[in-house]
Amino acid sequence: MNITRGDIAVNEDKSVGIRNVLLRYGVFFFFGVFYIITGILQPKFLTIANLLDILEACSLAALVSCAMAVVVAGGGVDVSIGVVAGLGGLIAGFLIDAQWGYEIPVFVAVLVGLGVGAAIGTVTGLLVSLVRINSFIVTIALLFIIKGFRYSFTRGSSLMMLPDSFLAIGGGRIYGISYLTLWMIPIVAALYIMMEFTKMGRYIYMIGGNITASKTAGIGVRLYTFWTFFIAGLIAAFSGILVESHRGVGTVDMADGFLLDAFVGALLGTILLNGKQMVLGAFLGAVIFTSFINAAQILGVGPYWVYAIKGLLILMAVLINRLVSEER
Amino acid sequence: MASKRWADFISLYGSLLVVIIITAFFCLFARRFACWDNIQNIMVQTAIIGLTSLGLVTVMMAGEIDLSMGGTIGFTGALLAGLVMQQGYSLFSALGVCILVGLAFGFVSGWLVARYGLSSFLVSVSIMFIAMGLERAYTHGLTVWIRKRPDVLFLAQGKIAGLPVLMIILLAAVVIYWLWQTQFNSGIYIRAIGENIDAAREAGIRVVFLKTVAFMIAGGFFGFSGALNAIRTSGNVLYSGQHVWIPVLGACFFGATMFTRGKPNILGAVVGSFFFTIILNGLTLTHVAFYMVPIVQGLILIGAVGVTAMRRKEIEQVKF
Repeated sequence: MNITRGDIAVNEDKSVGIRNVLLRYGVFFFFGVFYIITGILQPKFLTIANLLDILEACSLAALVSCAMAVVVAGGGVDVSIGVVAGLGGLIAGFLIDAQWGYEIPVFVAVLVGLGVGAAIGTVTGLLVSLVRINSFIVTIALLFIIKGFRYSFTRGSSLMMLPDSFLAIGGGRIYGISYLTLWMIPIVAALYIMMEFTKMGRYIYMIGGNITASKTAGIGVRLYTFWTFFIAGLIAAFSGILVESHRGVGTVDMADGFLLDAFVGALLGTILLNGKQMVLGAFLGAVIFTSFINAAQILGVGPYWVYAIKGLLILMAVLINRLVSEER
Repeated sequence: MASKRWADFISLYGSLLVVIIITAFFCLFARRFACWDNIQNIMVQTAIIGLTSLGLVTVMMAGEIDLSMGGTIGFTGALLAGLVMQQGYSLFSALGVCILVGLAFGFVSGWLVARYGLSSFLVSVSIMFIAMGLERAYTHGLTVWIRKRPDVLFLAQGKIAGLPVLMIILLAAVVIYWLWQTQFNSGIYIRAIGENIDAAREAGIRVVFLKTVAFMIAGGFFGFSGALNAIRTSGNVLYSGQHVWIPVLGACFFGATMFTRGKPNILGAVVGSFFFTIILNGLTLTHVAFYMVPIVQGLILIGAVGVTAMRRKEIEQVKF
């Protein structure tokens, strides 16, 4: 990666000083100022209700961003994350939608949906680690295949008659906290623990940092590369199931936007934390871009600029990160 | 020894063989596939993807990647439709504005990547988002139709001397581009930068300048094909760039599997774009279900890239 983890780890000097702290956490400083200024301009921004709204809005983005972050940490990229999410949700919904009459228990259908995600993750992982195709190309090809395949069983019609027990998975609130947030937090926490405190996470980071050295050190490079894609597929499918049950309707392209969200979250996170603690970074990235969009809407910028805000955020983060690392 | 030579041949021309076999299959079994009308059709259908691929392959040959077309094509398409229909621009000034906008996007990403060494993946993804946002801000999320402007619509729907204009544009662009790449120093230097940037710098090639130029050429192509895309469909639908994004990436990566050992090349990109359209066209003519088209395209892409990857010793990681 150009945002080299290795270099930064070496260059990091431990000397304290207001200047160094500012430089090291410049991006955070910037976003902190943003929160305070927006809060002053529009007091509604920093109310509990609005912050909970931001958390709800960022939940699915945070899930897919963290899944993407695991893949990116291992030196890959998964462009199919959005369509995998859509397919997992669609197949689970297809099996329980009253209109199609399969009437399979909801629990089983959800498992099948997750299984589809895991299966696609397995295929991607095998193609990347055994056949040694570049993961960007593998997932683009899978994007093609899934974009076709998802029309083959529903013929593009929407799933409108999902049972209530399925809708209860993601469509509710406890004490104002959305179910989406309640699902997201443990999964992100589990991913964080896996990446930071287990052997597996350490190996994934090492493979992403320097694959040749990892191989020399005797790490099962293929196995751990495989796992990153498997995990991403599984989590993508689950977020697809969540979005379907939250909206109460399943469409073929319901999760296509997840790819862009995952890009924004994971890339922003990588830049924010200099490629360390990627899962935490991706989570923060998702929170930050969602709050920017929320702030823009509260301040009356209008919905047309949502995408431009995402793009400007990545560009700004890249530039700030670059300036900071030049200063060092 | 013989088997090694055979393996060499397969890895260089294997995907070209697949292209030829499948095209031959369609010629035999798809009614009216190989007639002149349909060949013109294929040319017209390829034009947008082909022109965009020429742009993308320039950047890929310089060793970088540019994903911004997902946004710029939609934005310039909306811009052209808006300028022509709402501001009353003439065709050529509107086209000029679109190409200039593309060049400007290319300049921004190229300058940031070449001068400051930022990752082209990150920069171009953010440019894509910015362009998508601009498109939506410009059109307010509405579809801008191009109507009652025969001069504009002629560019993409008309015929000169019995040949579709889009076909002429595509073929002319391919020929001019090919000449530039092979006959002019700048074209050769761009490839040298992609092969080995340090060696190119040592040899006195102006690396920063030429990399920026590569991105600007790509941007110009994206702007132009975005405008053509809007004209071809008589208007710009929101985020139309997203529908070009994936086929173009597929065509360029498929093209990289032929003629060279997994390196992006012009001829490959052109053949790749044509091949993806041929699959679409041929499968439609043989009455295969519409959703089989991307499935077949994806499977062929995986197969082609997989064969190239077999010689590799190590997992290939994504650098961004």
